[in-house]
Amino acid sequence: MAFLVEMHFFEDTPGLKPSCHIGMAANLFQIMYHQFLCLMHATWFKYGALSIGVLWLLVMLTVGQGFCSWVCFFGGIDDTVSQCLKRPLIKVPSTKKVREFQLAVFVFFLLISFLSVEPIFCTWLCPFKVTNEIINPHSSTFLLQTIIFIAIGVFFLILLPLVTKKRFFCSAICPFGALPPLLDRGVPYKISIDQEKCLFCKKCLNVCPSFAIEEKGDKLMINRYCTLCYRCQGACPNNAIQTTLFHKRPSGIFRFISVIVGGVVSLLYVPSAVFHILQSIWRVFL
Amino acid sequence: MIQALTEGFLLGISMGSYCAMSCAPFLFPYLLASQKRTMTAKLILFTQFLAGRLVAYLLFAVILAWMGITLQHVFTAKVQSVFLIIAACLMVIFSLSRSFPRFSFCSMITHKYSEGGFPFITGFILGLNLCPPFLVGITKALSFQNIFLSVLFFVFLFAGSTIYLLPFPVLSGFLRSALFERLGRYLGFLVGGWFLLQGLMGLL
Repeated sequence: MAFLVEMHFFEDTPGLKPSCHIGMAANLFQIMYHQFLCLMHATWFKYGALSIGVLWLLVMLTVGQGFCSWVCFFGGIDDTVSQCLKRPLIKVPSTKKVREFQLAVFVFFLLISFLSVEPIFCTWLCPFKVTNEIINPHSSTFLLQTIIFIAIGVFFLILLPLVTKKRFFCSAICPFGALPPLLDRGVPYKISIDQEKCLFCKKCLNVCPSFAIEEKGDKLMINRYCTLCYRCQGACPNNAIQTTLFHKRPSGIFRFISVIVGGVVSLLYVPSAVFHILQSIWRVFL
Repeated sequence: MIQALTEGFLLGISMGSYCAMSCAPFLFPYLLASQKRTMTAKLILFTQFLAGRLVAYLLFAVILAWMGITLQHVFTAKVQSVFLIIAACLMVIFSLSRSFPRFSFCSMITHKYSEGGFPFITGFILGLNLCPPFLVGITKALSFQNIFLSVLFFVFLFAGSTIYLLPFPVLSGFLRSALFERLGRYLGFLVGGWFLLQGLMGLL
């Protein structure tokens, strides 16, 4: 995030900011089309598709779907609400069908947005709109849209995560969440279960908020939908869940060097990024 | 005759992307959700959808040439919204019947209509929707004042606009695992729901 801020991606320059990652996913075809037009006009740098593509690749190769757990603002709401109760009031089976439905939602938005030349997710479903749109009671369409924004927000971001302890917005609705699992093979960091150590107590299955752990016979497997929230690792009584790098457990030296390199690299960006954020806040309030 | 043929085809090509906009969201879920996963089966489904559209086009062509009126006063926005609602309901029923085949209502629907029945009827209803290229076609067809030329014009308009739909059966031919079949069912439900909402909003 600090890198993004430092690279001025969030500055208010029309055409340069990458905009919301969820909106970008839902309108991917349109963005690619606009990028094509920009390429034809020799102004490729003016549009966000290439830059967001590079960023996306960067995110995929570093944290993969961990973006949904560690960066995304909707993920934050969903995840926090899902942790409010100790036990779920309604027990939902950990099934891949929810995530497959999410893939259908993604394809639906790709199709409908591209064919109707309108960002349908943003204009009809995004709960974030409640925070920055003014309800216009004179337009029935807008009123309906606002009702849908609120309904989606309340139902999928608050109510369902609260009673089921599952991240329903991120797992069933969010178009962005459907994309990283498609690029799963390129992600070096993964969480896997050591089958020899696994006691089959299913504690990880119950705590996983992303429908990412499934039962296969007498084995538990972490599938491609894992959002790297590490909740399963904390719940495992036998330390059977581990992070792997290219399917191998990274050595102690590697982990130590990673921390050092990560710290040094972030030092290049974090102070400046914090300065930019403070400067922006200063500009808004004064 | 050559004029009717070329003008119909060129109009279809030039404005066919609009036809793809209205037809593709309905066609793609049918193709994905098909239980028969071979390329031939997908092509048969595609043909059934197109046959429905063609029948609607021909119906228009004959009525236009016979009556000599544009029918635009009949096919108002409200009537088109009703067509959209019917097509959307068909899509939802299709998805439900595929998702819950054991339920009595769903099994009755599945039993009564073969897999091709849904695409044919949907194609026919979508063909009755007066999109801009079709309206241009109607105006042109009226100037022929001849049933044969009118039919020829609409057949080639249909052929020209169909080109934009060709990638969909090819794409669905490659996506033929059980996952994509489920995806098609969910997609059908979403598309049906969306166009149902659009249709209802058009009626209000």
